[in-house]
Amino acid sequence: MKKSNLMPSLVLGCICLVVALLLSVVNMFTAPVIEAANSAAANAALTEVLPNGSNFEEIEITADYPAVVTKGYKADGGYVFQMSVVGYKPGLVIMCGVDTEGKIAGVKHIQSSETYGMEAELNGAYVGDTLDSVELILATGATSGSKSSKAYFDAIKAALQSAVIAAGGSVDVRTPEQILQDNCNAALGTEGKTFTRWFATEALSGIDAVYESDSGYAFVIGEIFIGVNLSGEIVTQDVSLDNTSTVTDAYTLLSGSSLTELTTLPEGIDSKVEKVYVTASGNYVFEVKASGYKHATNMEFAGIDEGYFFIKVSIGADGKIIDVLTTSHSESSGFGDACAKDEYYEQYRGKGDADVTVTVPSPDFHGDLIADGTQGVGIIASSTFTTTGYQKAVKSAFAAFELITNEGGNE
Amino acid sequence: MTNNRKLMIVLRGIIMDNPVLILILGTCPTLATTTSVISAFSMGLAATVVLVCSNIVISALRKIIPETVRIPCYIVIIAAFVTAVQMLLQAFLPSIYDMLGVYLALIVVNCIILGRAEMFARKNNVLDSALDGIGMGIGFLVALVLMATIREVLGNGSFAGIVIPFMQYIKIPVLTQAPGGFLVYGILIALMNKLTEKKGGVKRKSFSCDGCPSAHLCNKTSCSEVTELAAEALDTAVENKEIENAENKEVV
Repeated sequence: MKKSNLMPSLVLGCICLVVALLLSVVNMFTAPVIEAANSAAANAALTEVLPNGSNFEEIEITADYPAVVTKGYKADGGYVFQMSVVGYKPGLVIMCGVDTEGKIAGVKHIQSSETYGMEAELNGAYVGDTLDSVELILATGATSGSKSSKAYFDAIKAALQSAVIAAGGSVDVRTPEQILQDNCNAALGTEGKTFTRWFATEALSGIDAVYESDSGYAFVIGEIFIGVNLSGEIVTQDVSLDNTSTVTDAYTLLSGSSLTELTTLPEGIDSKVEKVYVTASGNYVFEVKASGYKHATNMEFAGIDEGYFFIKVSIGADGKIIDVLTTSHSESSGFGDACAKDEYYEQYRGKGDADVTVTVPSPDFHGDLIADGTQGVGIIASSTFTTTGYQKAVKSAFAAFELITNEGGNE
Repeated sequence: MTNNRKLMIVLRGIIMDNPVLILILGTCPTLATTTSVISAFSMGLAATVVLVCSNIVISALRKIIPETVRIPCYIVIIAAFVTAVQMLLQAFLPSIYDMLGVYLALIVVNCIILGRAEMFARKNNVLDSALDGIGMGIGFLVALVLMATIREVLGNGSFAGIVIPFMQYIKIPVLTQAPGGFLVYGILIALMNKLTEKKGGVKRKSFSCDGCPSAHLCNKTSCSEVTELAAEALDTAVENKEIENAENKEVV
């Protein structure tokens, strides 16, 4: 009885043992081949972007590397870095090989939701570039505001910078915005404060830009940043005498610039001009709502009074624009959103009514689109509706300025 | 005479007892891997290798393996061969390994292999079991390749991955999907039944009522008997109903 109970288990156990032994023998022969194949598959992607590379080893990505770098490999023929950037849509992952001479050896997108074909075009475009020579390349049909092209450029630059860092060198990996914030903080002797551009209601002679924070102001003259605290004292060391007087005068004008709203406006002012302020020195600030892409193409046809973007325009007593600012907008990412950038505001500064014309008075989807290279003030290429909305809003401000200054507004 | 018997063992697996088209076994891998000829051929070949090897080993060990633990023993032996095939494919044919995916590992539970071990290998000698494995394996392989050819050519406009230019305009994509798989499978089974009709048709085996949980309710010895009685009862009921209707009409 005992024998009959024991035998089946014994036989099954023996079969399992023999099977395990035989499988271990098969595994002994196949495991190295499988490992080599897996390694070759993993290296295939790396070799594709660094053809002369061999013996790839993953390196640790520390805080010294640009934030977009997610992985790095060191090889005999150079480095390979993987970057994750946000293009037109999030999740653009690019792998880039940099050879020992610091040149781009190859670029490949690992993951992308960008416009079809854009990646293939840009993958080969940067090969051979170095950190000194690399420049933004636009994909066919993309505009200067193209987020995809910009994201590619950022990733390539980050790879080139990372190669320098991995080789033991040092490189400034901060973005222009971070550099600006750091310069402002350094000028004011603060740390981690956020500075925003001061919307100029006064024309400040000799000053290129002013940035404000809750601790004070940073005045920019050329490449020099001069900090002034809320008491009006210059806190930056080593400031030349000329600069001191320029900044002091500017601060006096800035701090004394108070806005008074005009409660009664002359008849005939465009209804899009929502508020008008006047400064002590006789400058005017207009708050205007503009019909851009979102309102003109989506809301206006349906009779919905929404989707506008809002701008502020300050006009000096001489009839020239002191500054413009987009206070809020919902324009297209990568296209119309260029209307909220300082380089766009710069187009309007110092311009008079006659300088600004509406390039496309009645835009539609079938023609009259603004192309790259179109001349004029306030143009955003390929963003006809945003451009038109902005230009019309500025013209409304000029018209209101004319009416107020000619007829005399009541405070 | 002996040679004829050996040949019959092989041919039976390919035609008369074709596992896919006659015995309707291995339906899951059949439907899953017949979207392309290459994957169907690979699956057929892998299953044939496992089937032949497991049949040989099980037949050789048939006198050693105790009756009570025979199924676990068969599963262990089959699993060993499947694992070995998996390792070899992963090492030397990684593209085929990736293509077959989970269905390669599922050969372990392929009912053709376990079925032949239980029905044939444990009752016959090593040579016959090997021939049975070859016949059944080739039958499985041929059925898979035939079905994959129809699905890939008509559904995808290609054969073994080679694009057929004129087929690109008339292809029927649903054939590469699950419903198309069932459709082609059904048509092939019907075709097989039609072709074997003149030779007496496919003989379906009738099973006894042993193990049927409802056996005590019908009190019969086989399901076919129940079916015959049910058909008779139905005919009687229909006749009675017709008579009743006729009588009602006369009354009216």
